[in-house]
Amino acid sequence: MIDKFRAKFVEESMDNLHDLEEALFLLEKDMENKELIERIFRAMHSLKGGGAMFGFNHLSDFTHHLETIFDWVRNNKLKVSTDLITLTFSAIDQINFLLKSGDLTKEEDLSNQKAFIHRIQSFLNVSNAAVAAAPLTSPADLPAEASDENTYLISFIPQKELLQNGTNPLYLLDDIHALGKATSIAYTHKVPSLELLDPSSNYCIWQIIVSTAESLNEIKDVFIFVEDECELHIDLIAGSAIVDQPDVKTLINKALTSNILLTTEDFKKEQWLQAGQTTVHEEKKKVAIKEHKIASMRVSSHKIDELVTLVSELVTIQAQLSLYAENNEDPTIVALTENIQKLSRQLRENAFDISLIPLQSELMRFQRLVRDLSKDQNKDIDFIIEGGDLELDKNIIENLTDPLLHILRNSIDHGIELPNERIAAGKAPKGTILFKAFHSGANVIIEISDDGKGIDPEVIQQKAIQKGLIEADAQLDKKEILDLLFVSGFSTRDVVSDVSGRGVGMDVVRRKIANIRGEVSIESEKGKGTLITIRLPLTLSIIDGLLVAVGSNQYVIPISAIDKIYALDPAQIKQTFNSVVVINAEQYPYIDLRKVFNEVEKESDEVVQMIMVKAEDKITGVIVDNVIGEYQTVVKPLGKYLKKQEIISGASIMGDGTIAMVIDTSRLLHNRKHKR
Amino acid sequence: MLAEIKKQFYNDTLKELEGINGLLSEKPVPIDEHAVIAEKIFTITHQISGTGPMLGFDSTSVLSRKLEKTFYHVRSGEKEITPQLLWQTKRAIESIIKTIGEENGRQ
Repeated sequence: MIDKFRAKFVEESMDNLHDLEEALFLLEKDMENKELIERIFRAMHSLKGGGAMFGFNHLSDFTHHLETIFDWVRNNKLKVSTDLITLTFSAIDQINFLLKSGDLTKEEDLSNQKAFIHRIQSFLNVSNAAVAAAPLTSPADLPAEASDENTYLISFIPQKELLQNGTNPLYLLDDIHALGKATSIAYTHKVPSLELLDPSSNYCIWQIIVSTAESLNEIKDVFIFVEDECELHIDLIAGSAIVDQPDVKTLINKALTSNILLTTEDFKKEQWLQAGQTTVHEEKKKVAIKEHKIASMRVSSHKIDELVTLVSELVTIQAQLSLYAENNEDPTIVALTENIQKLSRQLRENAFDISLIPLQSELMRFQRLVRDLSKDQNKDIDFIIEGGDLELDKNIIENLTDPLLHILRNSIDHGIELPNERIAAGKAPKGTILFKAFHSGANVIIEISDDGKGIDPEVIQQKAIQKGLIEADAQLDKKEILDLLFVSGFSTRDVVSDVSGRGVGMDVVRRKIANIRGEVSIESEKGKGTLITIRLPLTLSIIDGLLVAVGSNQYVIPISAIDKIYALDPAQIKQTFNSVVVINAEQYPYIDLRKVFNEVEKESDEVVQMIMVKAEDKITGVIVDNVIGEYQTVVKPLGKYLKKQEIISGASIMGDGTIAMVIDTSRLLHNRKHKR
Repeated sequence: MLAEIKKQFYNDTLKELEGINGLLSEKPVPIDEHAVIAEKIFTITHQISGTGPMLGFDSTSVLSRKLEKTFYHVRSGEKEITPQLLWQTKRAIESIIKTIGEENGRQ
């Protein structure tokens, strides 16, 4: 049980840390913002309190010191500075570590923690230029109220439940009486007979006429903790003390005998309000307890994965059912199957929608990286995010983080220049990295661009020749040269920095992105900047595919990768040279899947189908025997035995129980290029 | 373990509430202590409202939420502290002490 609480605390604290980081970023831009300071303090405080409660003693101790700093900030004893923000960012990393590891046991961790606390304490000592704390607003600060007495009619109409929260209404009446001279009228006509009376319910209504020199706020504060459980009206009825006047007593007696509540109108007749004074009507209507609708809920990702798997199974079974219904031609079964098909499609869409998470969840890490690295390297960088609310499959986001971090590191380390270099190049001293995410058809595009020094194709080409990646006389266009950056082991940086340039960069980025069926490309202009574009599918587990036949087997090609399909005469293929076919006066390289899969080519005059596949901005033909049709398919992973299989990204179970392999078009095309 | 957490929560909260009650008993409460007291009240009621229900202190958290809300406005400068507010707060804190004791006894 306690583990469950601890796990929940850790989960919530991680969210808290996320908030904390966000608030810190904002605070860095607006260092005087009290609201943000409060937000940070509250987050620290919650971490401290919860940490102690759930056995994270080191965390609690650590955040206590940090909380002290922000307590000083709140009380104007300490000013927010970039150093303070940097310290807090580092502290967030430590808190993250403490949340993940629990109480520290290793000597090294303990001494690190001690050193960090010492750093915080010394920060407080250095910054001990205390400014006298300004007290909260108090009555003394407020303009003095007029000392003349006023008379108010207070109508206090509690709900039945008033007594259940431990409120004693008689205390409240006493408090009003303590403010001046007052008379209370208790209306008891709603009190039921003894046998019907519920002792825990309130049946009374009170009106109080009070003459006091106290302010209206002072009167209102008497009812501050019961205002949700009552209807309250406070009306100014006279600009003097009139409680003892015979006319008022008459009105009170009348109200008591008639059980009719007094109104301001009853007092107006007597002209007690002086000229210039108007009736002040303060009304605090009972606030109905709002129904709290839960806008979102936390579900473990494991459960969502399970749901998606089950829905995927359902889609497969449903395909089998459709096939069975078609073959049997029973109208009832066909109608039922169609209904199930509709429902399962809806269910599938909902389930996949649930598994999408906003990209925003990861963006904080990127912001942090840009901030920390640019500070380390004395670079001034503006990191702009567009489209952070875009949603992607959680598995894609998980696999995307590392490549994106790598690309950003490259932009900071290799791309953006130092401020003086930028000025010398006629640029603004502050560099910009733009992170932009948007939808494009069934894909999501992420662009990371910087206005740094760009990439010199000459340097890349020379380096590639030096490394033996290309021949010295190779004729490559700019795009092909830039593509060399994605070749394994390529690094242009002579000095390996802490940040990037280890030569294991961009090839890993491409591979990781390809693992989630994405593509990455690079464009760069020397002196102007670099743009890296990542194209991703929306989801990994279900794809719209084109079912094709090659030999005796069926394969699925993702429709998102297909540009066109041509029916070609077999003779046209036979006449080709170097696997390049001419269609409509355009030359297209092609891949014959029959050769790739070692299938025997049919000796017939039937047309062959050439599917034009797009990848990395190029169109390549893929020859298959037959196009069967569109097919929405659930992609199943191949498992460890077929992991080395490069051009197949998964398998799909067809309605009739047979298996169709899903072709990874970008790998297929990439392999072809590589072989050439 | 859970019982231990509850016990710790109860003891810590009670100690804190009694401390605040002591501060509020001064008549009048010195103005330069208003900010500190407001902060303490907000913090403890925030803690009760957040953790109380999880540990079974449901009734306690009802009133604590009201105090938390009120003192949130005080801290943000939207509401001023009046002697009456401090007096009603003292009443409310006494009521919370009573309720938390009752709820602790029932568990």
